[in-house]
Amino acid sequence: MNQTSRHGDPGNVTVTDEDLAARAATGDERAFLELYRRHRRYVLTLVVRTSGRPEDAEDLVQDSFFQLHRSLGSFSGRSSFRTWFHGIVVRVCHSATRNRLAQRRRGDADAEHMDEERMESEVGGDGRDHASQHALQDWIQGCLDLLPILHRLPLVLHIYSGLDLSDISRILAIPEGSVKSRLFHARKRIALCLEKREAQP
Amino acid sequence: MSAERDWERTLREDQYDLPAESWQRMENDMRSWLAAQSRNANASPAVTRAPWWSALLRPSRWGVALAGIALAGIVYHFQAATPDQLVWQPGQQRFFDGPNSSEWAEARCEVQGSQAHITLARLDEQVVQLRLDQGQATFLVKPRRVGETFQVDLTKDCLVQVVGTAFTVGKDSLSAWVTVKEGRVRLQVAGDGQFVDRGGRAQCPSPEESVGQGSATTDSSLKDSGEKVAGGAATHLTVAVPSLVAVPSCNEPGPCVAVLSAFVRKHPDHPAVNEVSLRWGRLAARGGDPRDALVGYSHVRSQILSPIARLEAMQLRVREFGESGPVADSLDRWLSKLKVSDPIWRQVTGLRLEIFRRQGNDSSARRLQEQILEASTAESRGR
Repeated sequence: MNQTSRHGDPGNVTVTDEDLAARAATGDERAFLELYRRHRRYVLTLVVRTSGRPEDAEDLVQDSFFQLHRSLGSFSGRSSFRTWFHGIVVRVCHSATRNRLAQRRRGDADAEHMDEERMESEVGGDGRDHASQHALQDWIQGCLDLLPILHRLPLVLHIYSGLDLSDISRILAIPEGSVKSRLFHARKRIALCLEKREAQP
Repeated sequence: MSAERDWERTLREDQYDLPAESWQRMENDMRSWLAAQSRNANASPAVTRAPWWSALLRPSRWGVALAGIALAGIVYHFQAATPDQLVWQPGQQRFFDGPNSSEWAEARCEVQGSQAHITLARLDEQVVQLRLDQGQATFLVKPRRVGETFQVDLTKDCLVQVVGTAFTVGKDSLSAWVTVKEGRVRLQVAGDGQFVDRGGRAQCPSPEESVGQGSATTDSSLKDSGEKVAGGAATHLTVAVPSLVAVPSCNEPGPCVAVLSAFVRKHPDHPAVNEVSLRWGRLAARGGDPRDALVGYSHVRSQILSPIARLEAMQLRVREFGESGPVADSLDRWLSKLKVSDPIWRQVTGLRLEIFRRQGNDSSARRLQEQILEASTAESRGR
């Protein structure tokens, strides 16, 4: 599988993901496990980036693969397996995030508003939460976590997953213009967040 | 290079990873799940020949069909008339008197032995929330879909959420715990979740605060539920062991301390003696009698509770008796045997940090603080 060279675990790269998906759809467990081994690390990173909850990452990875197994019959091959699988992972993460936010929601404050407030307060604060995270990747993950899910998803799919605007548009079911706009705002916020880091002694 | 220019590359190239044993465990879970899926599929094989109803079109089968319909009607009539098949409404507490079996949309409930009181606290499309008030029962939970949660409240602040495999939860009048048979579950205590893996066991810290003891209230004290998703396998919950000896359930400082200490002395071999001793120590400490509290803590012997009792006793010695020096030595010896991954490591380290600060040893305090932060970072990255 050509993507495995970048994201997947080392494995049998002579069989494509699409072939494995077709075999797994007929009940071939070994094919499914091979798909799992190829993509698990990549999916782990994707769910951490997307959900912002490393403590739930293992569950979300498993849920993503459970959902993949249930959905294999509907894979038609019109898009690449990887793009199609992205949609599943994103839906699982989005669903988990939505459930969590729904429970946190109070009164009229909607989830995005809460996230924005959180970002304002944490980025604008003294940064003590981040003081221990010297590594840049920790900071980036911290900044990603502060983004509203609407902005975080396109950014992760575009930069980490390397998907183009049309794929993201299809996965998130929004127009390409909205993807562009959200990417713009997400980048701006990340830059703002990282500026705070640089400003710290 | 500035962070602004670097972050996209970092985001693109950095990947998270898990320890090999975590991957292996997840793969084993995946295999179990696939096997369960396969069994379910085999249980209802697809019909590939003529449709089943085509046989009924033949007049010779009409009699058979009519008899079948009549039989189904009779069975339905009797089942519908059975109280056990009544719909279990949210907020309703059910009293099971002796061995019994009933079923509702989400699970099958089998009461074993004596009475059991179980409340269905919440039932909607995504969450099934049960509360064990008293007694013992076994649940066979049907497979949950993504986004759906099945949970059992063991105490006011302690609940078990099904993540997707088999586990046992138990509760008596003093303690509540979970033992995982296969896969993993999440045990949520006062809003903080912890996973318990196969073969593991965890206990709720405040056993005396049983949910709804004798009450049928429906308000939920749950937080952050609905995040967990179960896999496809059916889940078996075995709930509770009735207490055979009357164990004091008081929970206020004062006369209760004497009751608890008398119980411990009278029943030194009772299974609940560790929990009672811990409660004795805590209530005595709250009641302003730290010496009696230390005696109570010293009676805690169980492998799970004794580290907690030891730590709380040390905190008392530092705060009430000013024994920072000796306690620091004990803590250092203890810390040298603890792993960072031990659940109590952080609290023990926290007490050591407190002693450093009390002693005015700022450099050591700072070093220890950094160690704690590093551990937190490593933990979040490991996950």
